[in-house]
Amino acid sequence: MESSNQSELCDRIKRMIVKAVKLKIPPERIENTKPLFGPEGVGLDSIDALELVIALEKEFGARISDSSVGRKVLVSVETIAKFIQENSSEKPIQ
Amino acid sequence: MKNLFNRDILELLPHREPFLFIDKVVSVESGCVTALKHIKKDEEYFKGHFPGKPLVPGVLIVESMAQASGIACVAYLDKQKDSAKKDPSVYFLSRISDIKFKHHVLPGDTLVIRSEVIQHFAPFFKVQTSCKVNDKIVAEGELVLTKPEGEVV
Repeated sequence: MESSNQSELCDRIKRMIVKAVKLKIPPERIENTKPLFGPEGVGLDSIDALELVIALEKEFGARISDSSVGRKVLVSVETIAKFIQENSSEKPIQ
Repeated sequence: MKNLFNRDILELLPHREPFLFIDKVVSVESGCVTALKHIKKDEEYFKGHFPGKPLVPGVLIVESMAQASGIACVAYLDKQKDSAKKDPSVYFLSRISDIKFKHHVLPGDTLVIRSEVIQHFAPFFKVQTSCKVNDKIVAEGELVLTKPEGEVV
């Protein structure tokens, strides 16, 4: 079962996503495990990924060092939350 | 990269007349470029934009900013590689964000364009850019440029 900290983090991430890519849906409509990219998911595109990378660094100090890391992290709210928890420092992951 | 501003502009940009909107690069540092474009008094487009009241179209100001931004991307990658290797890539304009046009640009004006790469997440470059005439900002905003897939960055 999801802890309240985890749930709070996911809510923050959803708000960050909506703000960063100017989504026209409320944050609570994004499910934690729903794919962010592609027509089956939230519908973000690859240029939106750039905005998410910038927002993640600005709001959480979590730096995605390159696109191969990005492809693993920017999958869903859940995978972003895991990345933030594991990379709370300013250091980029390799 | 040290010699970037001495290079011929045609080596830095794939654009050619009549669609070359940068005349000269005057400074380069850390993915940040300042470039000039002089607007001739008899540019062809003044015949239609507008008859009797010539104004430089905003889209062409954005094009100048985009071309300067392409050079900024070259400079950014040069810095990463720590070399001055020529990079003839075409960078595609992928997003124009919140560009504001603050003043008219007239025949005879010289655009001073500053473009700085603020984020690189391959294949995308986010660039902050501004355009001044006589030290006054005439346009500013952000662009995203894309380096075509398959090229090593």
